[in-house]
Amino acid sequence: MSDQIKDQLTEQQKVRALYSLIGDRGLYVNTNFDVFPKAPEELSLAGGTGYKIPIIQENSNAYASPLLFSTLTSLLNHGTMLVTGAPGIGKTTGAEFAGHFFTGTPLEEILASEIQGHPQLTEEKMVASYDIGKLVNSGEKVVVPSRFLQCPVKILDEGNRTPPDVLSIMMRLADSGKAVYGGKLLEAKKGPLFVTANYADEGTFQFTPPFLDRFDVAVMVTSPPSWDLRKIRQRGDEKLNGGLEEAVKIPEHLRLDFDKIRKEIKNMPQQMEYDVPQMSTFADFVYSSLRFTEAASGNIARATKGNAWQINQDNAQPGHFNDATFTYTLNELSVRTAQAMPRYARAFAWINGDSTVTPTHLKTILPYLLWHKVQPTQKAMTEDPLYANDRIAFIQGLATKLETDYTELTGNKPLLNNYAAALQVIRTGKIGDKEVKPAQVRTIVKNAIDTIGSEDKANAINLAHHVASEYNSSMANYHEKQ
Amino acid sequence: MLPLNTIAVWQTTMKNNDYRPLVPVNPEGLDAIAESLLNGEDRKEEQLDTKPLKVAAAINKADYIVLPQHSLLIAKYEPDEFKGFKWENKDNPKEGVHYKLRQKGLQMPTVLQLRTHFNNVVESYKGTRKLVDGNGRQLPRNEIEDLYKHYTSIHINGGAWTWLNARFVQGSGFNNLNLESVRRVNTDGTFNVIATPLEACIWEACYVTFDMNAQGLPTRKSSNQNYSAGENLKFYYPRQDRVARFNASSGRTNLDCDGDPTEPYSSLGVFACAKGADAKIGGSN
Repeated sequence: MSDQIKDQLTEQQKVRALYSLIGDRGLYVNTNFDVFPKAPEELSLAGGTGYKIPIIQENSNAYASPLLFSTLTSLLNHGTMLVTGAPGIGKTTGAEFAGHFFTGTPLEEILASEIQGHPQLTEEKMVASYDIGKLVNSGEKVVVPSRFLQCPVKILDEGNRTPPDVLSIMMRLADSGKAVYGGKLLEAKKGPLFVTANYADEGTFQFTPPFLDRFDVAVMVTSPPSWDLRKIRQRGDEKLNGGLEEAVKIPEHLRLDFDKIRKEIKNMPQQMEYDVPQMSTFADFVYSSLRFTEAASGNIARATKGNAWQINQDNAQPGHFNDATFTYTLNELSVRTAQAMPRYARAFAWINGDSTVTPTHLKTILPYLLWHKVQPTQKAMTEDPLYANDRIAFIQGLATKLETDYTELTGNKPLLNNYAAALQVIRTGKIGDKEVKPAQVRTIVKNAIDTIGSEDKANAINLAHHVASEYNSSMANYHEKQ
Repeated sequence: MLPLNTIAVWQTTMKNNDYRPLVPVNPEGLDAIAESLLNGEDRKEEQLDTKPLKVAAAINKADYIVLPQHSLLIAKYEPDEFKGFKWENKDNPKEGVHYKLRQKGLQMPTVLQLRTHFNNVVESYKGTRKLVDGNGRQLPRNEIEDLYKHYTSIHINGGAWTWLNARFVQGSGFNNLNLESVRRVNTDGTFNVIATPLEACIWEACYVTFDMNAQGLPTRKSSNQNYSAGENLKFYYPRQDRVARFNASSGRTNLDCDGDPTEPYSSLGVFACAKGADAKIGGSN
């Protein structure tokens, strides 16, 4: 590559070049491609095994989820990622290399600040400690942040060997990038947080749902297929030959401008339809579809899974919407997750070299944003018992149902016309050029809710509720101004 | 009437907010819809719908849909009690499906009636028509979807399968056939029939559009000779002394004018019809 071309590389091209370089140098080799921006062609295997082999579409890309999401997480401020899988297959290594190449942090610094999870892990190791010298000599309590806190790339290895109460410190760190020690608020350096977890054994603790919810994304690392071993060996055996100094060098022309990257990701335009951004609209639909449950309450405002704390989808009497998609999950998505969905969809579109973000970007990565957070109901497990192991497949199945629901909803023109017409009148106070009196707006709203409600669908209830909510909000504002 | 400044305050308040729909909606035509919502047209229709229908047959009107073009109520699904009977049972006429319907004050739909209803179902599925049941209740979207799928796939009881009131007999009409319909069923189970010359229609086994002649038979071949649910159906043209049937299978919807009237099947029934629906009531566009 000529110097002139090197100088002209965009940040996106540099990231893609680094991404390839990690594989080419044998630092992270895994050709278990499981993320396809364009749905792959799936070839069934003969013999009735039920397995299908994905074949990439022409002019498209394919990614291995561990490296893809380690990269995206490293590029975002305070991105959080959970890496699960069997021991010894590169969970931690992948995070270390991605953190190094995509934040520019020296590998030695990452390794030195990395924490190994174990039952005696202390707050001092994770967050900060007092300056012993000053404490002994003058009794002064000076807080010294830990190396872990000061390193841009934070890795907690084997996190599920750490008791839940200690992990609560990590929860706050993951959430806000802040921690408190000795009454002093400490701010962690901007950068990704990776937590790895082996599958459960006698020495592990169960991550709690609130802790899992803190992770923007999670991957299941699978062992590399046998044909990848040759490339891994080509890298050299550091136990025989020494360090990896050469392999981890970042070429000068591939040094990244992180502020520029984050700005470009943030400004990725969305595909629009009728002035509505399609990707974030689909994200909101996913959130809204999984939120509702009849098991929680007879009050529409409280009929959410967050309120189903005694009776839930698994132990409730059959409700009215027995086949609706919401019946497949026990819990709803948090606002944190609702925000992570468009963020990662933007980052994915950016790294894939696309000019706009579309719902397809979100659908492609959705399983990795949700599988560790969304708990399937017994009904879902009955539909496919393998969901107990393969939560990614569960979310893929769920996403298909959600996409069908979304297509049906957006194709229901009579319903949407009544809904949008009511919202338009609430917004403008007019029909065409003709002014509408408040009492007339009320009539329109009531008739619209009546019509939408007669659809007898869970997502129609949501739209009717939305009309009512906007009307109530506007009336309250109107009353204030009167 | 509210003072003008009240309206101004309202509009100022509203304009400062962002009430975008949660899903993309074409903004064209929303003013007309808002106008109809204001005038309560939907509510008026519901009030009109609740007017009791006078139907002679003893039926549960919630199980029937108004077929306004023919002043009929037509069953949502084929009632089990009429399944498994021959179209005509010469050995024991009272064991034929026409007699069984007569006992309940019901009748079999003609090809035209069934196809008109089928078109209504397709239009309602596409959102351009409303359907109401015999009690005047507008059918919700999920019921319409079930009906549509029943008519176009194997949804519910393996899909639709019904006898139609049409037998093709030798005559003076198209391709020397007449269309014979049962007008009345006698107390002994025999029929009084009326025969009219068969009108011109498609004369090959192929996919056809929903265009039809006055007898409900197709007049236009589909440009798509593969099944497209809600867009075309497979037509088997009339053969002498055979009867019409309509069925939905896994791969297509069929209008079959080559049915054997003496061959019953356990799942072959009839979309029973009751006279009496007011054409002003249901199914407005």
